[in-house]
Amino acid sequence: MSRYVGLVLVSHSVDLVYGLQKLISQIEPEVPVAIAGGAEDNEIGTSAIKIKAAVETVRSEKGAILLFDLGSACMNAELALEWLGDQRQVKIADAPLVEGAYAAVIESGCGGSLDEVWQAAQAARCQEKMI
Amino acid sequence: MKVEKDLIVNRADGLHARPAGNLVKQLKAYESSIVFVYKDRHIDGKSIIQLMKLSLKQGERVKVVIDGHDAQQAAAAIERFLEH
Repeated sequence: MSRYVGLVLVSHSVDLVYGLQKLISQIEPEVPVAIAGGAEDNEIGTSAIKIKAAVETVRSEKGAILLFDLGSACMNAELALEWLGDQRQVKIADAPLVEGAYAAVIESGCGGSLDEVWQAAQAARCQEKMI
Repeated sequence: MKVEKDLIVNRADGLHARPAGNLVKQLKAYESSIVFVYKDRHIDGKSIIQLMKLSLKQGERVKVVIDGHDAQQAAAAIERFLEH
């Protein structure tokens, strides 16, 4: 079991989350990060089956955070969580995917709890990109 | 104790997303408050979200204001970090 809160990156594009996984895993190599990109045939879309499998890969006793790219991915994310049964240790963050994942992976790497990691991702919503 | 320092970023890669992540992890270990001042903006050194905006090139100056009992140690850690 990992001592870190896991991250699941959901996107309509396989390539998009593949790249993002590489980016954030460089920052925190020990934090488990799984991706669920594209529909089942890897075309543009999302897949509840892929999302469920990704959550199962990274969910630790500390839980997992799920981040997604566009609103429509949320429907499949919620469906995947329903299939998982016990949803208590999985939270969906309503955050920009890149900034949210970046903040979440660092907070998780610092040993943050599920709520702390979720809050770090959520806080990315209100931030300007530049100074 | 309050420590204020003007620092120059000497790291060849400057301060951007990846090193900022490492820096925040280090700074969270100190109890003192740590604020970077850059272009008149105050950035909480323990906030991932705030620090990720701070993109500094090699040679740029940044001020740091640290307040608390371990301020000296935190200042030394930041200086080391920005050195290489």
